[in-house]
Amino acid sequence: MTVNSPLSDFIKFQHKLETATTVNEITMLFADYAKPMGVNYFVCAAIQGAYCTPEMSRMLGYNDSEWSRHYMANKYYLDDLVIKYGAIARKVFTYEEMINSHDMTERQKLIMREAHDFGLAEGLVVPLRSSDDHLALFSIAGRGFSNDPKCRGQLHMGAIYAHERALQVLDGAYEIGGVNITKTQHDVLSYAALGKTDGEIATILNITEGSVSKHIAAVKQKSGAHTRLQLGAILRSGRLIH
Amino acid sequence: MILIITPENRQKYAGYLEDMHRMRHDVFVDRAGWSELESPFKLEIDEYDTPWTTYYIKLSEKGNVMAGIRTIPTVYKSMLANFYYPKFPDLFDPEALPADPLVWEMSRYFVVDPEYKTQSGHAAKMELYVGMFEHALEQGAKALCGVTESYIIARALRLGWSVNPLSMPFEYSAPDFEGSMTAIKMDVNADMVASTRDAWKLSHQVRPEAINEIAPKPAHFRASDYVLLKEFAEKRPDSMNDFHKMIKMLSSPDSSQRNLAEGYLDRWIEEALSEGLMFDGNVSPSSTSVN
Repeated sequence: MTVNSPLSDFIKFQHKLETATTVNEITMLFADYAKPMGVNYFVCAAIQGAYCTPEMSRMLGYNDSEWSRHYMANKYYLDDLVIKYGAIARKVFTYEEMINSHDMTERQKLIMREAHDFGLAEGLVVPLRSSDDHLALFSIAGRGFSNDPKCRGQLHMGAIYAHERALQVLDGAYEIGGVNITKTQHDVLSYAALGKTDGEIATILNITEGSVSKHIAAVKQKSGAHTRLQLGAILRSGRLIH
Repeated sequence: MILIITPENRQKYAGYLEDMHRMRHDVFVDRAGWSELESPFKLEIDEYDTPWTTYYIKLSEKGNVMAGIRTIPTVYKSMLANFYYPKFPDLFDPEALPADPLVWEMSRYFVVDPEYKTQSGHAAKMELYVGMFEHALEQGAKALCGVTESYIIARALRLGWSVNPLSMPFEYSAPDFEGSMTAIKMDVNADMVASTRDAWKLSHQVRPEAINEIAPKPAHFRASDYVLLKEFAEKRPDSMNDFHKMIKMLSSPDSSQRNLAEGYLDRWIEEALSEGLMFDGNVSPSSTSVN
């Protein structure tokens, strides 16, 4: 399927995104945008950083589809080549390009074969490293678009902006003691409140220990706390610690 | 510190400008292999290095060029309108291409440190960008535009920059690397400068003018001369040795040698002009409209 005005169609989508206030709305908008290009499945998941937690890693997309349930039930994320290659890829890639440039294990071949059977005949993956601490993969699948440069471009741009809007929505959803904090900061504090050390939090969230300290320092600054003790009091008043 | 070379102070800092063009040749031609930019003078200069171009140069404490970027108001000839759009017409909306004195095009960004993620490379990049943003803001620019690696857009958005694409991404591949580029336009305002400084933990003044002057480094250097001379030299491969000899003599400690070389180069420039060679960067604003 071809698209006549790639830039103007994208700009319309971008404007709609600005009005979205929930992740579900973003998912619906991206679905409407991508469907005419042949897309029938997509998911954007954090694979590194604070959103990379069991409950949050799948930031937006068809998380409740038949394929998603099958994928999660079989723990395919432990072996999926899309995730392994996406973690190091510097640019957008198609399933075909990935398969042609890698020797796949039998399990990886099985995942791709089953994906195909579920209607994910071809796919495009957009790696999104929006900071040193955060890497997400936006995986888009369907039929008839991955070798069309205009569709690739539209989906690539759409993924970047939908992902950023999702981060904004998720970030804006966190507040402690009257102070707005980011999702990353929330997760760092949640683990700190459980008594985890900076090193342990860094390991859990797959970020550096320095980043953990920076996030805590940022919340201290926002909340006016000078010490971790004072921060603890604010957290208790914000009911993060019960 | 970031040295900002404007049309007004160009003579005073011409020596740094020459160093920057030499470094650009080293980075883009010798290291990155962009052979189409190769120059016999080992100075990378193109038609967008005009008298109206502003340069931002990160200098080390010893005065060595570490990083650089240039801007030019899009009311002049821009790479977006004259290079990228003709190359990828299907990916651009020509009506969205800026041609505005207050929208500046950024290009030829480089960091000398080959691994820019190292501490020195990263710091150089951050100072360079903040210096450029602050200068643009001070001069009344309302937006910056240019072509960037597509993956940068996600980072820029996270920093709170208001970035909008001017094209769909265009993918490229070379023997050693591949990627995707996108033309973008981003608003410049006080909030984005403050949030960028905050995110990058950059609290110090990056432009020396506010603290103390960078010592002048005058030189017999005009970018336009070398654009002409390059064309002139290419038409006379037999004279290439003489050209190189004269270039070398320009930095001789012996003033008579320098004067001799300057005389030769001036004569060649005159000859080039008499043969009808023109510096393509000298276009008037009125002739650069995209539409």
